[in-house]
Formats: sequence, C-alpha cells, structure tokens
Amino acid sequence: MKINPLLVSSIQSAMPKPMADTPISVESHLLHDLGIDSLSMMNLTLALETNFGVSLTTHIEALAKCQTVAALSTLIDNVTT
Amino acid sequence: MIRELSFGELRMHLLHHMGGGTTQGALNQRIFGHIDIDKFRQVLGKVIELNAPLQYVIRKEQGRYGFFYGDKHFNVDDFLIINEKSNSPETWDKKLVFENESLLDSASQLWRISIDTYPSGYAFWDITLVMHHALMDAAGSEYLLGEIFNGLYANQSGEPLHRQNDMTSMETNALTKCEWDQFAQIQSSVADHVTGLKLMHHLCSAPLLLRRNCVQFFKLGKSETKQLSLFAADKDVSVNSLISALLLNAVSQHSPSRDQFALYSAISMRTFCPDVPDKGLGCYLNVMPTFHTIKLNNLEGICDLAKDHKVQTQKAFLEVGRWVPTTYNTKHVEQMIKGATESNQFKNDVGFTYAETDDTERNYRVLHKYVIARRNIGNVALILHGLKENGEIFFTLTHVEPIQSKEWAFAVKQTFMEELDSLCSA
Repeated sequence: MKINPLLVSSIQSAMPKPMADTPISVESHLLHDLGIDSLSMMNLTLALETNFGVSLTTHIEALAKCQTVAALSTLIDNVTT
Repeated sequence: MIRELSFGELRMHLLHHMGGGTTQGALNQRIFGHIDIDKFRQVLGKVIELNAPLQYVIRKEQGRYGFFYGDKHFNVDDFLIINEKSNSPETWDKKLVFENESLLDSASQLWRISIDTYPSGYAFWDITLVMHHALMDAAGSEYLLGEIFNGLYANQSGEPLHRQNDMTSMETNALTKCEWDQFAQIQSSVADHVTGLKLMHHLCSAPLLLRRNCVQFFKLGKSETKQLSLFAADKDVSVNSLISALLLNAVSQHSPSRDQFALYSAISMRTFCPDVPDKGLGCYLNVMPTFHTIKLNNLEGICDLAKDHKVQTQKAFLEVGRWVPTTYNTKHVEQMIKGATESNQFKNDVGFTYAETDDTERNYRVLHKYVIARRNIGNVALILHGLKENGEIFFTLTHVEPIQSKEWAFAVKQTFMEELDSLCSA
C-alpha cells in the first residue's frame, strides 16, 4: 500500500520534534511509533484539512479510532472521494 | 505604546482588571540545595535585560489598552522579594496563597518573584513566581524560571541565556482566524449548548466580592505516575484525558442529582501559531468546553469517559477552540467580560489544566511544583491544575466558597485520589 505524500507531510507536520526523523510506514502506530497524542492529533487534523481541502469536524469519531497510518489513509480516501 | 493588546491578552487583562485579579497566577517551586542570593540577583538582572516583555506594563490610552515599558523596568529589586530564614518551610502553601492574593498593579509591573530561604539544616529553598496572565501560560512561566535556573547553575550546564525582544500576538499568527461576528456566533452556540444541558445551578449565588478561592495541594508519586502512564497507553488515551475522566467521575459521585457536566479545558495555541516559539513569554491559551454524561462510576466507566474526552476535545477544538477573532474592538471584549463579572450564578462547572515539563537532564532538583490561579468569576467553579515534573504530578484543586463547601471539595479530592490509586494498581 502506497501512502499519499500529502498524508505523509500532514503527519510529519504534526509529529513532535524529537520524533521528526522517524520513518513513516503504513503499519506505523500514530501514538506509539510516531508520538501523535491527543494534542498533536489536533495539529494533524488541521494539517489534513488544509492539505486535502476538506472539513473533518463531522469525522472526529472515526478519526479518533484511527490507530495506524493505514487506518488514517483509508479514512482520508473515504472522505475525499 | 509598544503595541496594542491582542484579543487573548485583552481578555486576560480585562478579567484581571474587572474581576479583582481573576487571571493572576502564581507558581511555587521548592529547589534542593542552597541558593546564592547575590548570584540570583545578578542572573535575574540579566534575564530582565534580555527579555523585553519582562519590562512591560499595561496601560490604557485613548480607549486602547497596550503594552508600555514600565518606569522601573531594569531594577531587579522592584521585582524581587527575599525572605531570608524568616519562615517555617511547612507554610509554603499559605505563602503561595498569600502571594496570589496580593494583586499585581498592572500599570506598574506584570510579575514578581519571592525567594524564601530556611535556616541551616533545611537543604532546600523556595521560589514563588506571580504573573499577570497576559505574560504567562504554562510555557511562559516555565521559560522564565528555566532561564533563571540556567543562569544560576550556568557553571554546570553552560547553556546560554535566551533573548526575547517582543511577544508576537496570537491572532497575527494563528492558523485559524475568524471575524468577530463568527466568533460571537460560536460562543453563542456554546452558551446555548450549556443551557440545553439543564445543569442545576449551584446551591448559592454570591456577589463577586464575597467569593473566596480555597485550595488543596496533593501529589502523585513517581511509581504511581508511571503506572498511570502505562495504563493510559494501554487504553490508547492520553494521561490528560484519563485525569479529566477521573475528575469528572469524582465530581459526579458527589453530585447525585446530576449526570451531565461541562468541563472547561485550557489548550495551548502555541503549536497552532507557526511563528510563536514553543517556549517563551506570552499567553497563547484558549479555553474550550466539552460536555460529558457520566454513565458508570467504575473502572470501565472511567476508561470510556477518557476515550469520550479524547473525541470531544478534538471536536471542541475544531468547532470552538481553534478560532481566534481578528476583527474586534475593546468594547466587544469589555461587554463580554462585563457579563461575566456581573453574573452571580455559576451554571457550570469543572475546569482542568495539565502541563508536562521537559524530561531533559537538569542541574537542579525540583522537590515540588504547585500552581494556583484565582477563579472567582467566569464559568468554572472547581478547577484542577496538574503539573508533571520529574516523574511526579503535582495537583492543585481550587474551589470557590461559598458557592461550593469545603466538605464537598474535600470529598471530591478524596474520591479522585482513591480512584487514581485503584487505577494505578489495576
């Protein structure tokens, strides 16, 4: 599974600075591998809205359930198509 | 005038000005070892010199509130109080409350520090920082104390002091700005939501001048904090959400006629303002409510509540918390604050702030670290501040008498700690 570069840059912009060089793969766990906690998840949501030009306000429950990059990728695909 | 106050700063200042120091905050740290007072004075002078915002005061000119340089902006002794060997170390809590009750005159100075040293035999000293909220959020106070400690222990760390020439405003930098009308509409929707919850009013209303802030200090030790973090990770929630759920659960258990609560959380907007540094003087806070229904008073219920808190927080941030108004005038904000100061009914409810310090190695040891703020107006009647430092979490629980009784607040704290203990051993 190939990750959309816009998704990668959105995730990178939200990752805490000490994790900045961590490689991102589809299997990466957002919290445990990439350090995206509830605060940086807000950052990620803003980045996704900006980069994909969508509103995610009505998808927060689904977004909160995404634990991996793969799950997030699927959600964004669903929202944008 | 250096610059006009931004919306966030103006809101904080008017709350302070109209509400009798409502947004003043104070922080007390107990530091291991002995202090060299002369060196401290020297370092503080350097830190003031390097950080222009420490020299600011707030004044109103021609209807506009702004930052100005104060008359005494370079004199260390105007900002520093030294109490040498004069107090008992057991009374630090009373000292912190006293310092916070001694209101800053914002036209004259926006912060001050007091140092308490103790007779030989006590291997620690106390520092208490009092700040106007226009200069301070968690990162702001952390920055100032960090700079002082860097200078004080410079021989060991060698880290140079930083310079801050100004404070950029939140609305200049925020990623999500809005017009005043949109902001007012969002705030109005939140108020409607609160009304829709049909929350019970608290048992008594009290004029502003009769309200007293009362506090309890307590802490969570290193091993319990570690257990709590592991438990949170296992449940895929943040420590912040877990503690919020524990607080709501404790309040719920002592509010038998209610099952719905509003929780007001402070969020730092620094990360959403690209040109605002992670650490530095200034206040980049926003407060947003989340709404919660308590279903089960057990471990499973608390975990569900923590997960719900995570989702609700995210949602509240997108709908409410992220919006920073840019087209406002002083009258708009004065009207908003006047409504709060004239209100003598608390419709709700509970507040929570949580901040973690860096885990970087330090050359000094913090034995305790407690924060306090005046909360006698606004829509929060009970607030819990949690500060994580060196693997421990230091809590301050503030309630407002006579709106809430001492017995009630004590019972809430007891339940909170009991649930926390049982969760740490789960």
